[in-house]
Amino acid sequence: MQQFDVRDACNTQGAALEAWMRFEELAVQRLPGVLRFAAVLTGDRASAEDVVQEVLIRVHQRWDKIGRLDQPEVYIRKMIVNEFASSRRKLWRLVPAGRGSEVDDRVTSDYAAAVAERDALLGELAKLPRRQRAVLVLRYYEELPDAAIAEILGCAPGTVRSCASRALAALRVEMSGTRLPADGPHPACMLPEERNS
Amino acid sequence: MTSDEGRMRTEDDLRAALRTLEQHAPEMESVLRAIDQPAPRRRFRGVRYVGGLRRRRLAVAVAAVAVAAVAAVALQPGGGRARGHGGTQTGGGTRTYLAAWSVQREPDGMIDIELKQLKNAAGLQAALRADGVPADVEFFHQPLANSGLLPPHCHLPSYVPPGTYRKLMPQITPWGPGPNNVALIIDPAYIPHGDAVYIEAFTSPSTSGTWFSMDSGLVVATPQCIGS
Repeated sequence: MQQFDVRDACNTQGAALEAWMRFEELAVQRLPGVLRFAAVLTGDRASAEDVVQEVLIRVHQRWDKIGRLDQPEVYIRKMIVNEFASSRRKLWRLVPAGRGSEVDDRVTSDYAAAVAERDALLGELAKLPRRQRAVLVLRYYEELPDAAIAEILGCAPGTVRSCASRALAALRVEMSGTRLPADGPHPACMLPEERNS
Repeated sequence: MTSDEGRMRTEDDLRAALRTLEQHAPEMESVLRAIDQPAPRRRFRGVRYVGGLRRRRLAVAVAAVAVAAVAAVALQPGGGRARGHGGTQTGGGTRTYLAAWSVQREPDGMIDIELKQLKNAAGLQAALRADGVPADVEFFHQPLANSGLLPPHCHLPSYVPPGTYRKLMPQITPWGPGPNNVALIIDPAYIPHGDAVYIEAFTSPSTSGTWFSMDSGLVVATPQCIGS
């Protein structure tokens, strides 16, 4: 009787170990890309760390189901986007140097101008509704088609195109295709709390 | 102002900008460690549990460096250069001149900061604190791919009254080539209670030599951010 108990325990531990090894295998193979994706999505390391930690804890707890999916990393990305979109944490961003101040405009250089322009673009990106930002990251960083983005965000491909168009218009980014007027974010591109604020 | 302000950006500009954010990717070790210890992490939801220990160690290290820097400043009065204005010490005012930077309290209470070299950030932080400006100062000897983002140990205040920055930092020269100085004037009277000033300065190579750039803003005055 005692023997059977021991065997059962061993079997249980063996299954758990196997599951953990599969999880670790995914973590080692896919996690670097997921971490970079989270960093680009959130814009800073601490927020990315928070988002990834929250998601991986949940993934680990539900690994018996998630591990059976064909492409668990796609599901993890979806969880990261949802965690980012629903996070109540405010992203930090300083007021850019010189705003409302006397800026010495005698000094310019190509490099400094390029850095300033890029920082300005990232600053405006950070101000976008989080769903719009997610659309841009999925489209221009992950290079996903709109249909895949729609699946991740749980909306129609048309909504993705609309969100992307409005986000690009807000950023003054010229799009290769038909552009929509920049008349503010469409409600479908915003979270409930963003619509109310 | 940038030279190409007003130029329509392209999708490739956006791709390139997004790529620069990769540098903020967390360390795999830290996120995997969180899975090993999910219970405390979840109990303190909203606080970065895993990074906390590392940040506390950093704060201790920064505090130790700051003490050493204050001692160094005290031992080297006049070791730097004189500023072009406010050369005489006023009642109740203080001034700290070093070759790398200077801090001066003007008669009207304004704090005049001038950077020439990105050295001894902890010393500058200590000098500002001595003049009543709680601050975190960070120097980077490399271009920042995404300047304007706070480091993990500091947080943006939840609310800054409109117009605060204009009064708090009435004058700022945020970038310039080496021979010129990057400068900032702070009015401590407009630092909201519980907040502190964050200053980050970094170098950028250019065709005309190394340039300095500076970002500044308000952060929450936590021990993790500004030391205790």
